[in-house]
Amino acid sequence: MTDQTLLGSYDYRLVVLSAFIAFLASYTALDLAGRVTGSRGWSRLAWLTGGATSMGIGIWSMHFIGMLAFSLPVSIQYDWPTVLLSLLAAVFASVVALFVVSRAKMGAMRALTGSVFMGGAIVALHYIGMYAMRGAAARRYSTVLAALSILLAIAGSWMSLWLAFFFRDEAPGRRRQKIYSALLLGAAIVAMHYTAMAAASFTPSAVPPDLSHAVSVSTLGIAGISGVPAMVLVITLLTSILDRLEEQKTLLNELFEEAPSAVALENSRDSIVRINREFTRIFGYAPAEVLGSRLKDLIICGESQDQSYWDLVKRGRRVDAEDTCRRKDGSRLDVAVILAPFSLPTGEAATYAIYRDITERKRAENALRELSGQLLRLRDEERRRMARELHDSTGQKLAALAINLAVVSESAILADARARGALAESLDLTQQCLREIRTLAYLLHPPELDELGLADAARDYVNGFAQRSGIPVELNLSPDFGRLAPEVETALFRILQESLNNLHRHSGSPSARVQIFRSDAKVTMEIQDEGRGMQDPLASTPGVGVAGMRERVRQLGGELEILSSESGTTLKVVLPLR
Amino acid sequence: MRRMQILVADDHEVVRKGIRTLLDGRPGWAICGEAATGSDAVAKTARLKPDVVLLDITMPGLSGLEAVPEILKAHPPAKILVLTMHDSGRMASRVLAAGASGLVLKSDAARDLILGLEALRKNKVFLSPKVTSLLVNELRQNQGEPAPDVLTSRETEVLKALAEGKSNKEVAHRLGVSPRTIDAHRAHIMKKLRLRTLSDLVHFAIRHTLVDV
Repeated sequence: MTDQTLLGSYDYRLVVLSAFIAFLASYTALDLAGRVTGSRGWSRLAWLTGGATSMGIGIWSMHFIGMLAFSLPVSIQYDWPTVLLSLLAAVFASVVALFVVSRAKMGAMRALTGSVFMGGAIVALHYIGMYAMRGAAARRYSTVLAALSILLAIAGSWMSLWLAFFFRDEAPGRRRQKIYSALLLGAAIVAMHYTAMAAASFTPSAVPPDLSHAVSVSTLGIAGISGVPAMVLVITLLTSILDRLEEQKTLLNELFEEAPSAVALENSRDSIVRINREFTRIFGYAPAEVLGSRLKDLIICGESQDQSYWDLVKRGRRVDAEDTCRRKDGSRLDVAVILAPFSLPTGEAATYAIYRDITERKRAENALRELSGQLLRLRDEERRRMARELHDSTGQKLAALAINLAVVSESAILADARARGALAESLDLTQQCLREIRTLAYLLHPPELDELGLADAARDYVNGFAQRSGIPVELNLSPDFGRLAPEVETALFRILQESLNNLHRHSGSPSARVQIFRSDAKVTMEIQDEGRGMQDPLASTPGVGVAGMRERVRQLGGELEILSSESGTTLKVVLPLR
Repeated sequence: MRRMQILVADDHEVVRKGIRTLLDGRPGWAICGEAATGSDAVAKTARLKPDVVLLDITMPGLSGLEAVPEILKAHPPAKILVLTMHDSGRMASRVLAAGASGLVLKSDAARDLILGLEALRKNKVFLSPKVTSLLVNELRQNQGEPAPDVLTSRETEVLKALAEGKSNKEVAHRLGVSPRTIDAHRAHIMKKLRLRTLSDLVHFAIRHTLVDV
């Protein structure tokens, strides 16, 4: 009988068509993996069944077209209930595939089990399909090739499961990889199918075929068998893509609405295009109330009223500032604002305005500043009081004690040399105490600052400093300097002390110059050196240092400026005189 | 020898008492009165006409420094010996400038008070050694910038013009010389006045009212 083997031939156009459908089904499968994984509940079930059905139809169509591509010299018909059964096998394979890849994890075992079931279903699809053939020919299978086709089916399934698992996360920028993978999968399906086809050989048969449910497939039929599944696949794919886009849109929308800062989008004609929920929460305006209005008219009342801010943005710069804004009810709030240039999808330039409510922080900062100011004032006051006490009370009593001891030592009644020695020593100790008290008082708060004023106290201090440090200091004062408010005099004196000490310790400057000028409205003090300059004015003076100076100046409503370069440092303080 | 009449003005009783004890029984000295405030000292000077007023500086009301000229007005022949805690060169300068004849630091009073009174009796000035060194130090220290009179009249003209914001060229044109000459003048001015920048120069001119602002 072997010599009677019927020689079959392939219609290559149909082979190509089957390969194309294989590719399309593979691509859809990879895409569906993500949809099934990404959805929950009913939507997941819908994606699983709908997806599996369309995928199954695709796979089935590929096989059936593949079979139709093969023609024997005898007429062949197909038993349609058996064909339907093979379609069910294809759908089952798809369900297995989508179910397995949409699980949280995929281990080697799960992949293997899945691919055995899926591959088995595909094998079933194929051989059931073959079984549906009705004609004057008998089938025989080559065991080796049939076994190979089964192996290919399982291996292909295994590969498709892993690839689908990989693509289900829907990371962007993987489209090209996805296409290559679909090509690979399609090729695997094609290889499995045509290996299985090659496993079959046909011999003429005298047994009449059972044609009770058989139909023959016309050209129109082929068009239907390939066209309808292709359409189904394409529609599934498009639905999947649209669904994903919709999901992303919802995500972005939520991200915008739920952003923890108030966001407003203004177009190039300065009218608000969109605001988010936080904007409504912070400023009290509902979206419908603001659309088409200008931010400037609604909430802006501080510095950013200035057109220059907005011009900067229009020129493509980003503005980052702190400002004051107005709520709908008219109340004020402190905000951190970022104005960033932005392009609308139409290409129109727009401004992206982000506001964060920092009223609480500002309040805390102010409280802290007030507290540190109060601490400084209290410290100054305390030091002044202690200096007074030491200078005017303890000092005076010690002075009286010294005079009394001098009187005693002059009188002749002390004949005892030991007593005389002790007395002389007592007098000496008393005088030492007196000098120490005087120095201590001076360091706490120079009494001359109160009695003579800043000009004389500064000159005394500068002279003493020059003598101690060996650094000549040029001091220029406005003539007829006069007196200033005690807190201004104290602040300037302390800053002078602090700066000259810093200069002595850190700058290595050979000289210094101090200028203090006053006018009716303000007093200016400039301290210049020719030292190395402060690399970091804050770091070079641990502790209070410059920060303390700044705070003093701020308390008095003045300004402190430090210009540091390699040729020296200039510290400038300006205080208003009220 | 006539006993010198002394008025002791100090707001601390312990100090006044100590001084009284120190001077009591010394031939040549007599305490004619005590005062606890600056104005009290002026009033008692007018009434008691002492030869010497021993004056503290830190006192309630009128301070010792403010009392010096008042006391001298009340009784011009009175000599004033200031007795103070302030070891300040500026304070010393101020009281001496106001008319005091001597200055003794309270820390050195046991030793210097008698010496000071003796000096005043001989119409001499007396300063505690510490005060002398403070004053010397003050004289030696740079007392600030040079006065504008170190400049020649031409240099002063250039300085004024530059301070008004004129450029070298404009100044040269106004004075009818070359810009290079102005450069040289400018360098001289800077050197003489120990200035570094043009802004220093402008400030100098403003301080010394060479230009209007």
